[in-house]
Amino acid sequence: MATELLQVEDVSKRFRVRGRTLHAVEKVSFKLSPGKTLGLVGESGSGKSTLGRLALRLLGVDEGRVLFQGRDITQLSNKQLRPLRKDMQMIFQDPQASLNARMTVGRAIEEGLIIHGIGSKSDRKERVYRVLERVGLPFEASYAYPHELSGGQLQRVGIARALAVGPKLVVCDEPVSALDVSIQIQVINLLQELQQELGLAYIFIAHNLAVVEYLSDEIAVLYLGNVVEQAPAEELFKKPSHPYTQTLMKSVLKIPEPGSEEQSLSHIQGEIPSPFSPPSGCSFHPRCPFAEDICKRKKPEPHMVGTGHLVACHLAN
Amino acid sequence: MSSIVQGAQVRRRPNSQSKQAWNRFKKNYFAVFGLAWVVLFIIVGIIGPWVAPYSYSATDFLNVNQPPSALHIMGTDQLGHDLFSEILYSIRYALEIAFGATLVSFFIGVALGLWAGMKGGIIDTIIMRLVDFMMAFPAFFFDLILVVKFGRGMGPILLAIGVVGWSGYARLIRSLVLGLRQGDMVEAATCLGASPLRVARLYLLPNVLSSMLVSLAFGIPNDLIAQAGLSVVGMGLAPPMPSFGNLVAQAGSMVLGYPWMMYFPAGVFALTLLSFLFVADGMNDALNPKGGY
Repeated sequence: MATELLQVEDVSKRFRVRGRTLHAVEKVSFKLSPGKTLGLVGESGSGKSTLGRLALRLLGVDEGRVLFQGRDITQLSNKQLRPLRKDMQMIFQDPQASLNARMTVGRAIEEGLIIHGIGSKSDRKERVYRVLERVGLPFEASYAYPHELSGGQLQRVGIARALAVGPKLVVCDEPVSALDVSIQIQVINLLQELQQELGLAYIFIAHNLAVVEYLSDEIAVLYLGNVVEQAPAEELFKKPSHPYTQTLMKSVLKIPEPGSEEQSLSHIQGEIPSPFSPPSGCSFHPRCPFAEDICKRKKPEPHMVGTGHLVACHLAN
Repeated sequence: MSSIVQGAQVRRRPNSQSKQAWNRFKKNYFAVFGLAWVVLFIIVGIIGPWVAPYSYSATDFLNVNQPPSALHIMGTDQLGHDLFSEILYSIRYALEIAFGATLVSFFIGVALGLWAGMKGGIIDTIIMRLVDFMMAFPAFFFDLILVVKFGRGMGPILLAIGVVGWSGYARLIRSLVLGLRQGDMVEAATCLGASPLRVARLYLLPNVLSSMLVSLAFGIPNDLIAQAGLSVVGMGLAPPMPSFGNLVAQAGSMVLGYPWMMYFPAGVFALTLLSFLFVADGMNDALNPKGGY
């Protein structure tokens, strides 16, 4: 047990919006070991970003526990959390929005070091230059303001800022979805190199399955705040067992291998239901092509269908 | 790695944002004229008392109510005070009160507005109801009460005007902070371990300051008017300290016989107010190229 970096146990989060309750995340559990990557996949509004923020305690947890390095951080106050922050960082989807427009890039990267009192002034400067260089930016970039850099450069700054404090866990919240395709692969490669070098654990949030497949050791598929399927990456792509996962994979455009049979591209019918009033039983049943009577009445419990392969579906086995 | 390094040249913007704002400001002749006058006003405010030919309290009963002449270029009043010197001193006091009072309002407004915007909840409600109260309460009446209570010296008047005028700043800064509070920038800072105070100081304040600048510029002429208004009802700076309000109020009863006693102070004061307004308006246009503020 002590080897786990992060344990999330039956975590739920609800938001109250104008008197109504939004079920953002429902009883989600997962474990993450050092140096591993967990991919979180799902449509917009499936609660994947919320889950990432719960894991970092950027949001308060309503139910369940979050253990970081074996320590329960669920009940810690914001003040008690602050020293822990240097071990858990986040990379944001929109680097421009996450950087302070009135702060130079170098100052933004140094900020974490200043907050945690790491190094003397010259040490910090040295460290900023080194981390900038590591993410592929010249040291001159530290004198630039965010609006003077391009999107790809800014995302490198976002990565540099998260890494400068030497974290063990990094939540990447769709770090490439705002970037050009040509830049995406560079940033993903960079993230992977850094993981190997520094032994980082990632929670990688994305709606792009191909990206997640490439990076993740384990993948959790979220639908309306519930984990519908969770498995090692290879297993999940070889044997997707939940109808939702299956349709998600069919919706990915792939270059066919020569001689393979023609595959039709399908998409999921309808929209994701309102999280204010999730459907009865299995929350996917209104859109599920295989839905039966039991799906409308009873909520499926996650059960094992393979080694480490969890599925929440009545029909999968 | 080398492939990554290549694409990463840092591009310098040809013009910084402040340079662009200045270029837009320059095109507005009224604003440029206003700025020139404001700069002159500030310089005179600083050096005025040293270059004034007479003291503001030097009475000369042999030369009362003199029209403009070589000796008294703006004439004298009913006590033989040199009007030109009086105006120079008035500028000094007007400047002190205008900037001082605006600064006081600004600090109170920024502190309360940031606090309300950051905390939300009950604190936000209390502060905003206080803002509503300050907005609904007649400001001039409040000024009068404070001046009556605390006296007619420089400090009390400065504080009275300042304490009354903070509500607008608080409301503006709160609304700006609310827009930023939920954003990624604040979350990123929190994630780095920044305390709320640090977030307010290093992240929120610098980002809302340029929007505050315009309302600050509009605040200065308002405080000048408030100060003059107090003098008109006899609650401004206590004589013999001169102020524009005092000079104009005094001249009111003499205007038929000795009109220059009205023309000079009222003219300078009106020009000053207009200049500050032109500058504020020009800043508004220059800093918000999309219009509106």
